Amino acid sequence: MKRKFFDLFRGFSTRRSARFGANSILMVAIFASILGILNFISYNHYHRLDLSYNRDFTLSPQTISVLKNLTKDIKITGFFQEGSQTKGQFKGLLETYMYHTKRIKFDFIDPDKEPAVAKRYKVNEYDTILLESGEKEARAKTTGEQELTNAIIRVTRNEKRSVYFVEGHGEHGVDDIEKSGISQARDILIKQGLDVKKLILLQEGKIPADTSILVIAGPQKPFLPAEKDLLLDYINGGGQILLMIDPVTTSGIEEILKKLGVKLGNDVIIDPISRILGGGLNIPVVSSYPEHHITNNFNIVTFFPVARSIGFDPGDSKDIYFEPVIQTSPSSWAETDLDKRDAEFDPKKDTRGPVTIGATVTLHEKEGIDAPKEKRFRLVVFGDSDFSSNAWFSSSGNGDLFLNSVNWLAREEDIISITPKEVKGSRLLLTRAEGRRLFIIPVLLLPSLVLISGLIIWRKRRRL
Amino acid sequence: MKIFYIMKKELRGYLLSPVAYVLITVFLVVMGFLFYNIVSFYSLQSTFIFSQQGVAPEFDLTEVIFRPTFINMSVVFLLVMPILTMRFFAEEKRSRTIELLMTSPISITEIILGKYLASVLILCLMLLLTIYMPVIISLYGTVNWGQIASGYIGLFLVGMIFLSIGILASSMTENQIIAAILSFGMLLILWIIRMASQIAGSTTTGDILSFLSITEHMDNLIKGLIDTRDVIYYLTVSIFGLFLTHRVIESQRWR
Repeated sequence: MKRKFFDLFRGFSTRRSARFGANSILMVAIFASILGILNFISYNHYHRLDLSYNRDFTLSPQTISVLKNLTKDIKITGFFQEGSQTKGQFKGLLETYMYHTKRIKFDFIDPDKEPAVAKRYKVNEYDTILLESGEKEARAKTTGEQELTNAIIRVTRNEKRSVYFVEGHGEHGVDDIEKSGISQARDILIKQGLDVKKLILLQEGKIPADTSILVIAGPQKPFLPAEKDLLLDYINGGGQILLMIDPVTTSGIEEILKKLGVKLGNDVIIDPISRILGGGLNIPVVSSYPEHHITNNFNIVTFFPVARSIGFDPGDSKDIYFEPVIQTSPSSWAETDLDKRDAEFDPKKDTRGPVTIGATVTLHEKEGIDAPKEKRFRLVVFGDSDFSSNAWFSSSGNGDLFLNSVNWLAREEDIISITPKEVKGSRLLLTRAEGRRLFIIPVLLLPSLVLISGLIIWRKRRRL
Repeated sequence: MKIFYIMKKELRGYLLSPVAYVLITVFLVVMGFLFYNIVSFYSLQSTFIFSQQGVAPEFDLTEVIFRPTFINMSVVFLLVMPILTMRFFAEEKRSRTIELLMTSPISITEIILGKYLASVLILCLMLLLTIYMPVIISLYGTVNWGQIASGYIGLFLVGMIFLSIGILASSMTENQIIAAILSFGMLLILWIIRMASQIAGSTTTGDILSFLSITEHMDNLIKGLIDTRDVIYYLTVSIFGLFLTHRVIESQRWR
């Protein structure tokens, strides 16, 4: 009887503590969920106060108005190395964008950890940003506001721009998926939201009015005089052409370029470095780029299988502006003796590298001079067309170079321009005495004051 | 009112024991030395560039000096705060005064808040004693006081979390040393959780881990951006620590 009583009591007591324990755990769980929900709400409705000196977390009015007027969702994928500084910067920038719009979602991919994803998106470089909206995509390589906002405009705008590929002279075929075709280049342009069409000049008899960019990709046979006139008129009327002209061809484009002071060399670039990299002597490898918008932030190599040099002699005309985009290495040269089997540098006839094999030709776009807007043409000239063919398009930076050239021609590099924030600093030069004071006050004086006052109070209390 | 009674009692305890003074002194020496190091590094660099090029370079002083200083200070807090709070309940338990407190008409919530407020006041005092840093720098160049204020707000919020976790640890044991070690361990985990989040990458787990990380939320505040999300994170974690303390103390009634 007695024993039963104790059992009962023990049972009751354990049950009691178990009940309180369970109750307590439940309360903790409920409280934790309330705090969790509070944080969840705060993540969806938050405010920011930017106290930084350069307003690092404040966007320009242009960007804010672009973001407020977004009507489509945008998915942004950043290809960054995990933990890199640029990733942190870009994430901060994106969060500032997301403060103004709910239409942006973002994701980060580390190309080292997920090479398959990077490959699927054709991303070859770190710090590449890919924007997707519906079917369209845009790329940028930046952590800056101007570039990101422009990419957002590109990826969301509805207006269709047309790119015409000239055909009929043995150019690389737009729909040709073989090695010699340029279907990969076409695909990436379509992805960028451009309308890609073919153009046979003689059939059409004119250059269509909706042409944004004309591409002439490696003509093998000569253009007829009528066609040349059409092209020249187009240029003088402020057209944009991407010219890719291979060596050892005579297409008549040389004559058009000559009128602008641009000279295509009758040569082939020989680059001994490319042999080290496993290529042929006549595949120049380019790894450093002159300052130009097209190759801005570029740091990967590009290959140009069998290229010719491009020279410039303005003559009397001062209106034309020539800027090199691609220059071969100093060890290369432009070989003029095309029949010889073993290429050798001949100081009398050949030109030592760096040789320009890619350049832009523009009219009056330098500051200070003003030409009528409708006459400002833009040409990108490459002394090679194979670099953009399917065989080479995915090699390293070749595809990016092609795309950047088209974007530059389409004048899409700065739809809006944002004045960079001025970083204001101060000088900091301490004299020896000041330096000593800086050590004595914080490290010795202030702490000893605290310690002494503590000792005084403590001793007073002990005496009491 | 009872909260303030407890708070006063604890503050008197701080002022009358040498622990707080020694702690604040050590804190100031370490911070002063780190500050001196950063400033003299930039001064030396300026002198070097000046002797080479004849022009001294310009720095955004708030950025180059106070960002690392604030990060340093939060690390020092990590080591200092557990010492401030370790005594609270561990001492009461050891000296059996906890029974007196529990049977007094003061509620557990009031006791906890009173003690917490006392430690928060010491935190404020420590922050105040470092104000000389921006003041000194403002004598030599421009200091962006907005960013400094934002940084101090960040340090205050981080300190609040540290103290709240410290109280929790103190309520779990009657040994002060164990309390300090426990709170130090818990804080360190919250601190390094970011590494785990980086390993997890941009997954849901990674997002949750980086949300929980103390350092993740401090970045913006130190850069001069006050974001309500970060502030609410700090406040809720502090409140949760205090709530858990309440549960632990309460559990003594029925355990």
